[in-house]
Amino acid sequence: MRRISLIFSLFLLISCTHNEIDRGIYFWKSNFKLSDIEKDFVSKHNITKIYIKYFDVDIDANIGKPIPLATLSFNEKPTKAYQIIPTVFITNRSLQKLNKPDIEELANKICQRIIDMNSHFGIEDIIEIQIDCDWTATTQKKYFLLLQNIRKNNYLEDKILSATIRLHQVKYMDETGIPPVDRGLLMCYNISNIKDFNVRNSIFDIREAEKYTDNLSDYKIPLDIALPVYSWGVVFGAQKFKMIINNISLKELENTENFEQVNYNYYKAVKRIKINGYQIDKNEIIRFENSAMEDVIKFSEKIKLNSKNFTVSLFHLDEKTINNMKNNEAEKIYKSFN
Amino acid sequence: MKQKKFTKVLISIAIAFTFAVSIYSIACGVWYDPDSEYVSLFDKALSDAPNTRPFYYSYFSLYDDNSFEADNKTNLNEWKSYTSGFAKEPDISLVVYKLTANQLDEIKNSLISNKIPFITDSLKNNSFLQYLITKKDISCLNYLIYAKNCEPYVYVSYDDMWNYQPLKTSTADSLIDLGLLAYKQTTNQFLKLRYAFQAQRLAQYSSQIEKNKNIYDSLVNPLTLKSDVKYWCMSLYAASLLKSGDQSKAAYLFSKVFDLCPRYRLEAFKSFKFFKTEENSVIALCKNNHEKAVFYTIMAYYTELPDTMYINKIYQLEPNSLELEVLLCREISKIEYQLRSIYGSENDISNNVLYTAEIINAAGLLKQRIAQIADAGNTANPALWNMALAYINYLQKDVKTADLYMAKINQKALNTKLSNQYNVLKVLVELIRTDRITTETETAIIPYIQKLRAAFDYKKEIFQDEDLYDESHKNHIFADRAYATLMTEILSRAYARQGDKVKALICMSVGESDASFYPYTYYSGGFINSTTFNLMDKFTGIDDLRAILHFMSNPRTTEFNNFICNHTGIEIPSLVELIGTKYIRLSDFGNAVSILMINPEERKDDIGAYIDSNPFGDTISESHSKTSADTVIYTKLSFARRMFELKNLLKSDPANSASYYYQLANAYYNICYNGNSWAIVQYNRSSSETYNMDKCATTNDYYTAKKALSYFIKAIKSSDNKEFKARCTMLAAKAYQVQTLGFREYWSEKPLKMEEYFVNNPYFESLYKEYRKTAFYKQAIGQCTYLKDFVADYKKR
Repeated sequence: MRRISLIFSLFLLISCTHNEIDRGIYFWKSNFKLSDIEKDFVSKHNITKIYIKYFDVDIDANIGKPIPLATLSFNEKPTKAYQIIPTVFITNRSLQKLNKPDIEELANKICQRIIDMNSHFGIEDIIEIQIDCDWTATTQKKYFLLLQNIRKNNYLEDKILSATIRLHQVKYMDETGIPPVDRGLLMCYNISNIKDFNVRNSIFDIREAEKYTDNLSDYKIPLDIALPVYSWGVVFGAQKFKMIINNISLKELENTENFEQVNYNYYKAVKRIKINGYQIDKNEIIRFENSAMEDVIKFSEKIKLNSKNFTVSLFHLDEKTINNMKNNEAEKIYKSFN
Repeated sequence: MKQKKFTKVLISIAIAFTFAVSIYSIACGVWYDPDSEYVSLFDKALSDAPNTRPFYYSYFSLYDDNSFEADNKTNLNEWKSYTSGFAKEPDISLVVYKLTANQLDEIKNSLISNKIPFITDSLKNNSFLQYLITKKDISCLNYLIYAKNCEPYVYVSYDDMWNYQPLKTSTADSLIDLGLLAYKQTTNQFLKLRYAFQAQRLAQYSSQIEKNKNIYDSLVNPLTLKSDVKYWCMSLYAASLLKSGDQSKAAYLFSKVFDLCPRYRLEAFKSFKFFKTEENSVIALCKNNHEKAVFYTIMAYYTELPDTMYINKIYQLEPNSLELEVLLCREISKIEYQLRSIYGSENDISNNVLYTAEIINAAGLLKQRIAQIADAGNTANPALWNMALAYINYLQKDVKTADLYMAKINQKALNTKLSNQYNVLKVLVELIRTDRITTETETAIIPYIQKLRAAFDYKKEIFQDEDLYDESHKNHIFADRAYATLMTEILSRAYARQGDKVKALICMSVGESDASFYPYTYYSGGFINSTTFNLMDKFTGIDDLRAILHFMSNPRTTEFNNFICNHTGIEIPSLVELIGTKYIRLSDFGNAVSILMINPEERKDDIGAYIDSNPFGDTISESHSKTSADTVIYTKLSFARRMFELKNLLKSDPANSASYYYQLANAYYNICYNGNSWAIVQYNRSSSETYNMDKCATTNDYYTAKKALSYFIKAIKSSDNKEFKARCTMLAAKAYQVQTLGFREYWSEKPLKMEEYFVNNPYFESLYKEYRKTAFYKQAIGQCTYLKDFVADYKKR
């Protein structure tokens, strides 16, 4: 296997010309204010794009219409050193009951809200908007119509519209369709079913990821790529998914007063405790998942996107996540695409 | 050992399906079903206490987050009284909540000018407008116009939700002044109160705490009329006290709002989350026992762990409080929640003896306290208390005391909810009467099970979309859930413990399919995707499955047996197919054929495509797609027939044994995990299943293909044809590699062996050394990169 990898890599080295890549990163919290460590990270790695989630769109149960939620607040103004790419996450259920006029209205409201937020916070020089939605067979038509309407909006006239693409949507592009946008962002994380107790690592498993990347060159719109650098704990009770705990450290789980390691990355609570404010009961199991940086780097070295110019982004910009990275892993990921 | 394992698995898988918890902190928005946290057989909603649903026990703070009085009923009634009953509520609602300030302004101006107001056809019959016009009630119109002008500053419309511009507070100030002026100018207390409310609310929303307080103290408090609006004002006032630091008074006032104002009850409750004050300082402000009881009720609703302290206090103050009943149900839910570990696997039980004792102790303390209250007989609903005691005694396996409390209940006087609970308890208490479920037990419990089943009706819906599925759980009633829970968690496991797998599985399936609680599936649903089927497939032997088939296919001798057979979701054709599949797995093709002949038509679903591949064909590269070799379509029956035939041909036609060995080898390879016809022997295949295989799996031919390998070796030995031998050797190499599935365990102590197997594959070696001059070899090395790499490496050694 190693020999095959070596041969494969060598082949790539000889036959491929250099890619021209931009470096990006995602910011997925509700208040934009970078700590010194985060600023330093952006600067040190020559990151020129920050994808910032401006708001979510989800259905309001009381009124039965999609509304904006979890709206970002800029507690500091971003510098001109990097581009801001407003990103909006849309749930499938917010699309399900919409008709054509509703979808047109929603597209306009999304664009207007982005405009208003930028105006309020003095954000200028936006050149790209990104929409994030894990569309399904039942929402595909409506979602694509929404994207078409966003594309037609005057605000987008001189801008790029991109959409996130999950790995399975690339592999089965004939069934899932190709969104009507200028660029796709290939999300190479959250690959497996997090709720499946037997899945070792739902964030990133190189063997799983590799199964989906055979036909990238056939994808009809140019792709950028996003790779994970985060970790979390997935809590199970009686092998049934219960919740996620963000920013949990492996050290906490290795504390034998509270946990017993029952398998490679599975830890069983030996008593009732609280972690990060969450109640964990005795015998519940936490599966610690991280981004397996060696695998992410290996994957980055192997993958071949469908254009020479693209953006490589990491998910996501967070001080704890940065502190958990070691040995210049982020730089290795970016460099592996050159 | 097998029985113990089956029981253990039955218990753990059954309980695993109970916990349909799906909280996603990434914005997936899946509704959380609090009733799926744990096994619950005591109805949280037994009490008739109004407006208490959010406070039923839930692991996450509120059981239900919907506010009360979404229809504004109380306010509309007050407006109706204002019109002396003339106006109807729907008409009032339209005018108060829907018409614009401009529309009302036009009507007002017409009345002032002594003109007949223009009313559109749709509003001509509106009784409230008729009242206002007939009475020339300019004052009321002025108020309504004013209230609507305030709306943009306090009410967020759909468009406003999308509007990112913050509201201007300078305009809010001028509106406050207008409201205060109007308050002074009008003599009508009804309108005065509402002006004060609007002004106070504007002050609160513009963070003018002192103004908020002043309006309440000087304008609201002096008014003597009784109105819900007073509590709206009180709530705003309490919020300002909270901000300014007078926490005790704020808590006291919020508890009054909680008690007397359904519209703001939930908000008042939520406000208590921010309090850091001593209880006694709030109690000191309470004027009577009822107010104290209300405050303690709120504290009790915030108490997560088992605790009878507040029940004690409230009972002393107000023994007939209906909310006491809600608290009682909460305490029982807490016990049930902690008991869920007992409902887990046998390993959990044996390892958690102390934990179990703690829970039973907690139940004992609760029982003691409840018994004193129940025996005093001065609660609002004695039957509920007796049922609670019967249930706790059931949990403690004290049948005598359980019987005692059940006997105190007058069945005829029970409402529907209590009646359903009574029926559940009758079943439970009967089950602890003896160590085993006997025919007598079944006879005793069946009337109550039938009553529970008759108590609900449902439309079984299968959802493809996870979000829509979760929404459906909100409307389930207790009888529905309790029926399913009795079947799957109580009866099924009890039968499993006593070795009766037939009834264990049938009851499991009844619970899964005959109630709307269980079909938790993202796929097409049905028996094949059920827990019962999974248990049958993975953990039940052929003999037991045949016993189920026999039980269900023959006349039923008792009412209980008849009921469970009529209500089970087990489908005979699928059961027959499963038995046949298990025979195929054991290579018992004769029996496979005879059982599958019972139902020759086989299920075709989304994995049927895999059976379209030819299990007897071979390919050099791995593929689950159709290939040129796929010219014949096989079913499980025809596959078993052909295998049976091949095995017989080995004996009857030894001259051609090489060919038969080869076909058998291909078939065994193709029905392994890596093969193109895995669907002949399995019902699903996941790419992650090889990561967590237990020891049993690594000896399972499905994951090792050792049978295939042995037959390829036999084929090689039986033939003189070099091309044929080369082909078989290549295929033997493929089969050999399958064993490496077992080494994909990341947490194995052994180093990763895949590469070792690859590098040392003896069949690749043999292929190279003995058959590299064959035409087959030349073809193979062009197609198979593994072989190519192996040879390249081998040559260097």
